[in-house]
Amino acid sequence: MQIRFLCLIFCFLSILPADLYSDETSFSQSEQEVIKDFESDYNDSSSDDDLLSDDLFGDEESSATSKEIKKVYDPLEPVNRAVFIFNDKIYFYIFTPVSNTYTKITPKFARTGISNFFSNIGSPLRIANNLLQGKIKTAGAETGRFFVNTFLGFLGFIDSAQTIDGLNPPEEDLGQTFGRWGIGAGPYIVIPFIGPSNLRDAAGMAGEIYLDPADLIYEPSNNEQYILTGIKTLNALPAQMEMYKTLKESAFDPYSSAKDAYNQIRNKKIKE
Amino acid sequence: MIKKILLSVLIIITVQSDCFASSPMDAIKKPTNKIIDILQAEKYKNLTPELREEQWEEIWNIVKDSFDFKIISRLAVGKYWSSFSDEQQDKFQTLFAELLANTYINKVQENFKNQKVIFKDDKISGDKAEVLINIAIEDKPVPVIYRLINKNSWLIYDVKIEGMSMVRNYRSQFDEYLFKNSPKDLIKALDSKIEKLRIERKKPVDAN
Repeated sequence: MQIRFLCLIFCFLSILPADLYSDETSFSQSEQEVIKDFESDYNDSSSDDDLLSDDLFGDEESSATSKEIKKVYDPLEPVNRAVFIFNDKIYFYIFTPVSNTYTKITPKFARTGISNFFSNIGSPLRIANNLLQGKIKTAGAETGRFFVNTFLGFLGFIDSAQTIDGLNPPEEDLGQTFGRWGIGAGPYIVIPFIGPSNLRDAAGMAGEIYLDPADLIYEPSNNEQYILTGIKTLNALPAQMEMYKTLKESAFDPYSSAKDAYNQIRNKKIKE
Repeated sequence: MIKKILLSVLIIITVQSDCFASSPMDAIKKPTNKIIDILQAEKYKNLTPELREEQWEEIWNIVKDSFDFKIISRLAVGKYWSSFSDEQQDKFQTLFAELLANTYINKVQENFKNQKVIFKDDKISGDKAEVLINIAIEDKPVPVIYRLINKNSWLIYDVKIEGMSMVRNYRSQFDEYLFKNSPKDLIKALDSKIEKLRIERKKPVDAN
């Protein structure tokens, strides 16, 4: 009788789904819930698991955006890894020393001013991208920002709009516009000197060179363009080198860390 | 009689609300403020390598009680977690905590002295919560979201900086690695990475 009873229990146990008594037993119910949510979010990045959802902190419309593929599409990985290592050497031996010297000889207020200036002349392009995405409200905020900073901030050198509520919209670029239109990221690319990107965003970057509405106000000659781009790049270098250093130090595998970071940040920007 | 009942109800309510006094926001605010105090403390004004180490330990003691490294490890390893032995799970948890401590506390020590932190908002949903703060880096506010789990007290299990989940980032790295390698290899590789960081940390920092 007893043996029969034990057999019955055994039979019953063996038909239970395996995961009921497998590894997760060491986790409490609330922990398992966290794990489950994280897993489903990881496997499907389009699901919005944020408690602090867009209606609280973000901008308008959060629906759109196509489903992202589970893993970053990286068919060029061997080439990308080679370029990544090349960039790493360039950053270490050339860019970092250059940026350190630049930081030493340029006072902080000048660096901030230059950064503000370039951010400000990027405004017309961001307004255009807002309009292309149908974000009228943000386009208005960006326009307001442009006028405040151009006229009250000495041609944009001072970011006066920063302290004004509603005049600090998220920055939009052409890659994000493409994403918003439902164009997928395409293969992941590491661009020499520049770093992580993908086909869509690289196309966006190329497009912006030709479509900048700021050129309607004043179109710089080729030489002027080179000088401006040079100053802009140099001025942005210290922050970028610092960011790269942090990423490299904290990562287990810097290549896949950078790939994931780029993708997460871009997806988030397309959504907002 | 009615008075007595009302009184006891009142007592129960007040006692209960006292139990829940620690909110997710407090779980972020308290340690953050403590760390800022340590960073600005008079005795750490001139950081010698010894003082730097002492300050590091002091910060680590606060950080380690605020994070839930067990669940962080499980999330970062993902589906491969069950292929780790109990021993390997424990070892991994220790090493991963150390990796995080060695990289991020150093960053905080280097760059965080005069940063302004604004505690914005928190939201609770069952045993989960999110807390939003803004850190002013170079005058530009950077949004940081802490994700917490309730286990008697609120513990952090993920940090999102500018919308990027740190744990997710590690997950993608470990996923790729464990696709080709064993848990044993991962632990070995992690160990040597941390050893490198540890040596780096003990090295005197050149002032610039």
